[in-house]
Amino acid sequence: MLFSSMEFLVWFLPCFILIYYLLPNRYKNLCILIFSLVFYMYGCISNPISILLFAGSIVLTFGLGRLIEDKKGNGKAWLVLGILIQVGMLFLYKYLGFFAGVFGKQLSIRLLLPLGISFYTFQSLSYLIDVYRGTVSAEKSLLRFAVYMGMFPQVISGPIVRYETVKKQLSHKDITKEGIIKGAELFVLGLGLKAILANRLSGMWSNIEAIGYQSISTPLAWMGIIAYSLQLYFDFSGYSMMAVGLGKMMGFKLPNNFNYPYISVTMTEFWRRWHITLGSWFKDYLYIPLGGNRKGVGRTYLNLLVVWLLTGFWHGASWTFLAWGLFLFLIIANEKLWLGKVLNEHRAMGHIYMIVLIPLSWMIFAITDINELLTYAGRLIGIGGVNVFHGDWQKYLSQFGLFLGAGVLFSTRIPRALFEMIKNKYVKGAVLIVLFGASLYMIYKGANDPFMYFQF
Amino acid sequence: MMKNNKKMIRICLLFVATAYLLIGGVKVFGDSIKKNYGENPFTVAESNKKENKGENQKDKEAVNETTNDTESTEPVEEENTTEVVVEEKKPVPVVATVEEVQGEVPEDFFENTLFIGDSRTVGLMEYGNIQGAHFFATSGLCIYDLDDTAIDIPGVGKVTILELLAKHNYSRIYLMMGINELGADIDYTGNLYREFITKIMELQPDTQLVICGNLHVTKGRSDSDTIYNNANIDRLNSHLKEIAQEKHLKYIDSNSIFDDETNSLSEAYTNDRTHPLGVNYQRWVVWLANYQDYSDVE
Repeated sequence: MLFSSMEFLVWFLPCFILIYYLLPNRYKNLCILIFSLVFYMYGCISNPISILLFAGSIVLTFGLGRLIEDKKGNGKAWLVLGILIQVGMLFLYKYLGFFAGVFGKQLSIRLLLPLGISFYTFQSLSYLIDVYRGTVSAEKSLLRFAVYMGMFPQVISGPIVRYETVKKQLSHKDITKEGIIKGAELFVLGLGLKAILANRLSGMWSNIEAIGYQSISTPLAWMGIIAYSLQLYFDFSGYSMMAVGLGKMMGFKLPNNFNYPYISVTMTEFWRRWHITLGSWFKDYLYIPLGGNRKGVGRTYLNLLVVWLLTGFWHGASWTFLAWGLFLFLIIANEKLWLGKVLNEHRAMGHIYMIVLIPLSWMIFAITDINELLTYAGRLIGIGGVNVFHGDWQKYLSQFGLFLGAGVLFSTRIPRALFEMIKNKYVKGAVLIVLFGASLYMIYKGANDPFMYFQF
Repeated sequence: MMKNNKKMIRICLLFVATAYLLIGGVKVFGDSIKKNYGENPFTVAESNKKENKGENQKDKEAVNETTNDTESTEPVEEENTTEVVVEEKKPVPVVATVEEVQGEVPEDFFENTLFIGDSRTVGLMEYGNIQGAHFFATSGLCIYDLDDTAIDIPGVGKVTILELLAKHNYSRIYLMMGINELGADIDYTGNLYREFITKIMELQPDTQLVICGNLHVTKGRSDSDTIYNNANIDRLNSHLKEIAQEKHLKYIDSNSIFDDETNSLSEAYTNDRTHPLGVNYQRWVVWLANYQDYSDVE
């Protein structure tokens, strides 16, 4: 189930909110668990085995956490077992097909990826490692642990939540009137970004794909990757904002996943502002254990390379994702060597540098076929066009120009700052209601007319 | 007393909320099961189901459900809104320098021709390199709001179709519409087209009106879409063919150069399962110019 869907907004969420707030505190965790189960099942209805795998993963991680802490046998052995199983499952479902392909074979059975596995695997690993390190003590209640792992705001697309972040709230929910209002606010703002901006902008990339990359003009090629960059950002950050808002309404303080990444002046800074929980996961559970920057210059760069290749690979099982990871590494390593300092001092230059690099990096991310990628790259510099309609960019500019402009504006702090300046709660409320209504309308129309943004 | 009242209200509200949850749940899950498994969940083949899911992943937001209810770019890469599927590699579309559809298109072949249609015709306009023709075409064009649709025709101005037909005489008109109306009753739509075609013939008695069958969608799309599937498209096309025969008009079906062996739009010619790639409109134009017999139909 998507947060930005009719079934969630009109059925699931109202039911949950009513029942959750009406129930006494001691039943709230159970309520979250049941609703999260329903939420997850709806999402994996075409692949029901997902739920068994997820449940198994939760029970296993819970058990291993207890075993590690109770020092039954060798704590390290339990940790290693946990890591092997979790990573093994992820490898099996997500990466086996790719590696088979590398050796020229093809899987004879079709393995559907369990819902949310990339996220819950990482979350489980962080828990086991934290318990082993003694950073946090193991959860004694399976119910609370299941709520930690499976609560619906973050189960499908993150943020990746560390256990210590929510440990206290699992037992004592932090529910206040201000919290609920702030949470609802965040939810509606995120919904607006996703349902209005992201959805609308996605039309441009869809159109470009339908035309075929070899037939787009160069201006459209550039417009396309800019539109894609904006679409991806609002889609993901909107969703993350909704997750945090929902968590807040439930009494949890979930971590922020985005912090205006597009205002960065270096790629290094960008990845501290984009998908923050993923970056910090890789830092704490891979980069630092590998030695971080404390084993000499050469080893530092090697560690960085490993982290970035795996970051790329986490996003998808394909050579282009590895290439994307490598691309990011080269840029970041270069910034570390010398460019970063320059850009941090000359921020205007940094902005221009990033305005060019961001769409290019998303292009490598978005196009998973290497030939298609090369075709598109060629179009950016005006080569390789076949049967190009030269007026295409004017048509798309008139159709999407407004949303592109809005997208650029909403990448800055300005709109949010303006919103926060509204002191009158009725005006603020009215803005949110209008935003919610508009989002609902867009979703409704999109639901009935699947080609709203791309009609025949 | 007060405390009891409050408790009663709480319990009532809980009851109402739970009832709404259950009733809504039946509908929501029922719809989803129907969508994923077909009307009878127990008879759909395993492989068919999985294939559908694979295809569904590609339509992000375009499809109701996950995938970002969005078009194609959806896979696990971000997993934000879409389910991820380990799917087989899609065949890379081929450039249409194809053997069986060949030839140069005479520069003046489409002089004084009008194309009336939807986004496939827009594609023809933008990527077909057709000289001298007019295109009354826009994405989403459909017979139900045709009277109110005004399009800018170079050299004529912004006009509705009837205004255009009254103003300008064409030697040939190609009509390819209908797919946007598939959600409505196909027979009723067919009758509206009968009326429309009659009107065109009245306004332009000397023109050669060519009725074109609508292009198919790919098998993958057809199998998973309850509205925009090839069975419906074929039904619509037979209506149009009937009307053409009734009125002694030429009927052509370009599916013959785009279909694969399953009588669906070939995956090789499309990226979005619905529209030919920009490069593939050329073969369509060549086919229209060189492979049709435009002598009068009896």
